[in-house]
Amino acid sequence: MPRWSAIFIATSFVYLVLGSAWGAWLLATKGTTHMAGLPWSLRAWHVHAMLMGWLTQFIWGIGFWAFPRFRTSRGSVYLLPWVWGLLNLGLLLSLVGTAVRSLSLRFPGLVLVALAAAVFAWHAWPRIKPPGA
Amino acid sequence: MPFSTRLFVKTSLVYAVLAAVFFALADAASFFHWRGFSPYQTALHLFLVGWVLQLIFGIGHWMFPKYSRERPRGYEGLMYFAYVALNLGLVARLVVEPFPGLWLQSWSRGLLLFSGLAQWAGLLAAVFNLALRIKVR
Repeated sequence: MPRWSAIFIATSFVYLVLGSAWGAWLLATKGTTHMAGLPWSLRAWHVHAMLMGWLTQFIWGIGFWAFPRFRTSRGSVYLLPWVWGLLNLGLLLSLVGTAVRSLSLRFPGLVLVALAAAVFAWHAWPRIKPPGA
Repeated sequence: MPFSTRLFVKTSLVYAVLAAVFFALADAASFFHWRGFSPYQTALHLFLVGWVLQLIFGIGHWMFPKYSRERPRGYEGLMYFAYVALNLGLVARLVVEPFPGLWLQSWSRGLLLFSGLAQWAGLLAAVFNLALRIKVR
């Protein structure tokens, strides 16, 4: 697989392991009277980690690998470091922002995640094409 | 398609149906104000873990680059462990989670803890085996 696919897929696995550990903790605390504790205050981050950090990042890694190519190139590959950087910086900011209850960290973090999605779409759009085009 | 992939993919299809049923039940529970029955979180996890994650594990195990000539799909035993642990965890969740009135009973507390640990352990095993097969060419 290409280098950027490997980077996206490996990073997505990190989010899968961390985000699901968080989820397991959340589930276990349903059987206690401590549902207002730390894991629940960060429940939003469990959702972001699993949907954007794991699932979306994994799909982008596979998409970069598998979408049709232009003869020998995968198109605007220079955008991929931007996608990876924006997504992961955004998720990190949203984690810290959620932990310290700071909207001024969390909101920019989520905006960076949205920007990452836009940049990936910009990269992938021309590669979604009929054979030979 | 290897046997473990077929297991993951066919089971994931069953969860897709179950998740859709639970989403419908969640809608009905909200509309008719059914007390003591709250299946929305369960439906979400049946969808994301039972359907999406198991489908990805199954297809990933089939399509990822080969680990080595002797072990092309890595450690197959880890995938079987992942399959059993994930599904035991999901079934345990299915029994207890939709009924918040049960959560504080000792048997269901144990079942919730088991469910979280089993799902996480299964996922860890599959991720380990698939991560070994991430190779740049």
